[in-house]
Amino acid sequence: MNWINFLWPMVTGTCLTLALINLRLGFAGPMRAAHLFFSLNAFAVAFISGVELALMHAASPTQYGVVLFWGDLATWIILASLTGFIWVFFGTGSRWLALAGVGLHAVALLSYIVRGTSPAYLEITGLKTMKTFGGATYQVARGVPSPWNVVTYSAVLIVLLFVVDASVRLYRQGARRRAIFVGGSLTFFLLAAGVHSALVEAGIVRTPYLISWSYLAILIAMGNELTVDVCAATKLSQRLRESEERMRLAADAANLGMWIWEIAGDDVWMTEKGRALFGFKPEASIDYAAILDQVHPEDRAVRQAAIQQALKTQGEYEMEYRVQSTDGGVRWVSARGRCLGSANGGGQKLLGVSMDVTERKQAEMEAAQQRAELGHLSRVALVGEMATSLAHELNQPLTAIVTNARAAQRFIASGDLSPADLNEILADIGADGYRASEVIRGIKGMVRRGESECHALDLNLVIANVLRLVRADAIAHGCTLSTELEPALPPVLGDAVQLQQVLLNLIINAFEAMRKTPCDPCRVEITSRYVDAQSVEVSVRDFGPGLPADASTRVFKRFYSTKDDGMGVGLAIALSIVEAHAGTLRAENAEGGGARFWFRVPAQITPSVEEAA
Amino acid sequence: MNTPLVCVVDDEASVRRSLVRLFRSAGLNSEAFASARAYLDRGAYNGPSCLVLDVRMPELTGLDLQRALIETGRDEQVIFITANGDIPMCARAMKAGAADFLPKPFDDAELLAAVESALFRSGQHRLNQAAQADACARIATLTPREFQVFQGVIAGKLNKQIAADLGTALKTVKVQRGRVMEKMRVTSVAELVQLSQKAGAAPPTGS
Repeated sequence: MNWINFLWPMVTGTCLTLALINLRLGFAGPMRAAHLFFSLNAFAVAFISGVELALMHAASPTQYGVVLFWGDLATWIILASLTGFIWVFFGTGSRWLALAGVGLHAVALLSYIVRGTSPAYLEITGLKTMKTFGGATYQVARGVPSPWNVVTYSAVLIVLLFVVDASVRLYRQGARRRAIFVGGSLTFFLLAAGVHSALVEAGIVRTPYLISWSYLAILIAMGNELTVDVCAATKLSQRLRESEERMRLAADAANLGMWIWEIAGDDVWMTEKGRALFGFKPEASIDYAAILDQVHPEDRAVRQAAIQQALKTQGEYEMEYRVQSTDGGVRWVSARGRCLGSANGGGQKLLGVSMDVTERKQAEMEAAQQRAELGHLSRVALVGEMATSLAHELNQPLTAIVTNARAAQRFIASGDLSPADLNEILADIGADGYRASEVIRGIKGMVRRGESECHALDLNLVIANVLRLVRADAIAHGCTLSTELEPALPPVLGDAVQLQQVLLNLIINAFEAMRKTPCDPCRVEITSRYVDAQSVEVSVRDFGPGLPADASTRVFKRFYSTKDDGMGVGLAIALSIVEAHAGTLRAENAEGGGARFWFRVPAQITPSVEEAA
Repeated sequence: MNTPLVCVVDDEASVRRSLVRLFRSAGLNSEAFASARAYLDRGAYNGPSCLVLDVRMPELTGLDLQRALIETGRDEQVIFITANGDIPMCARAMKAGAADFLPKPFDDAELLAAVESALFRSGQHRLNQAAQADACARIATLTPREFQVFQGVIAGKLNKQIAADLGTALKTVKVQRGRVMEKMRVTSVAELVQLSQKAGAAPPTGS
């Protein structure tokens, strides 16, 4: 039996198997291009193996020549796919060498087609049957070698150079094993195939073509290296799965719900915890609208805006919002998300974690409520402290009203009242009545219990309101009040009542400070000014003994008081109010004696001001 | 004598205006001042007058003004008005000789009655002052010896005792006593004693 007929088809079969496996991998899985080039290469080698077998059994020189042509075409495919494989697999290489090698070989191939001759030989004069060991026989061509062979072998040589160059580059980049193993075996077998076929064609060596065997070796070297990558990828994906599992366990333990939103398909994947948080059944499919439905209607717009912003900037978002739970209650969720992938590149998704923070939120709200309660109580206490002065302030217009009314009655009784006089009296009564109501409105505002309301405020107006309330108190303390107000103060965002409370506290403290020690001038100076582009300052300065050393921070501590009958909560509350307005409250000794308390709150810059600036 | 005048000192403009109006309705002349300092600058009024004064005012308070008036020897009848009359303040004011102390808002009749009586007292005071000045002027016309006789007479001494005290003849004392009665423009010893009382416990001594 001719063992040649047995061995060559085996090579073909092996190559086809490799080709088909890699073709499958080339359409799915990582490194598609490398697998496709490998597959193409393997098909070509399988074909070459067939070509070699056909050459060995050629019936005539003409048939030999035709088969040789197809072999050359397959060789060209091998060179092209090989350079492609190296190019994508090594990620480096000289583009010019690759194009030159493949191009030159194509030129040789074209020349055969144009001239209608077979490759390798100018003319095939005859075929000789050779005998080899085991009694196997095969055909060998005899003829005149073609000068175009130089071009073909130069092309192979250039491809060889490309492989060596790419291997050296890869070696320098650090992937030494791959460079030596793949580059080395490629170089060796390319060289072996080339030299051997050249020797066969020159008639120096009398053996069948062994190109397919060399290329099979190359295929095995390449395949081995590809397999290493596939194995690594498999291991990596397994590790990834483990890591994901660990993450999920950790997330579950930390009560975090994790989710991924595939934006293109509008599909949301969510962990059990997350589903429980939003009230989704474990198997229900979720999309963006379904989540939005669960969000409290008042928070929907804010949440959508935050997500849109994150998608637009490829950034992150972090927010807290309410979720309507199935039992009709409301749960607070703290969410954090990050955008992955770009909108135009496709595959954009949003990754996030959500956490139930209802308990923390409730505690926060309770604390805020208690703070508001305490603020209210201290305001009431403040107004109580000023009760006498406020009564005086109210009594003045009432006295004028009563006296005016009596005077009018007397004029009427004596028949001595002109309409002009009456009109004047009534105007006075009206003005005083209005003044009394203003005082009452001021008091009511201070003792009113209500939600804090934020508005754009003119601090000068707040100062004016407070001055009206403390005017009588100043007289009772024998103090004078002087003001130095910046006329064009930018508005601040705040609660008028609370800021009045702060100012009232500071002014009454100033009175108290000056009561203990006789002072000259017995004056409280209130100033407002524009500190910088960002903030507005209001300061209250007295001419008392000033603050004891190191008391400038202690005065703001709860239950610290220098007053004999002070509770020590006034300034602590004032501080918490100012801080709630994102401002600062400080105490210091003023130059020339006395203490100076000031607070700064952020100014609200209106767009028109910004434009003007 | 000039017509009675009511002065009002209150830092509150509307209260001042209403008070001036009330006094006008009662047929009283009044002047208003915004501060204690302005009132002090005005100087004393020559005629029956009273001062309606607010206690609580910036700078000089009502009580400060009262003290300043006493220190400069002015003796206006002061009626205090206050929006929050506390007892210690009221006591201090009354001790310093305030005519009345009324809480705001006050009853008009009460205030006008207080003002009327203060004006009356002021008038009386002025009359007394005039009488005293008259008596003092008459006493001043006496010679030293006549004054000694005058002192003896109002002490209820007999002519004989006076003569013995002065070491002169009874006849001389009788003549001098007649001249004293003439200069003092009285006809009886009782009148003379009354006049001496008007002139005060410590008349200007001629001796």
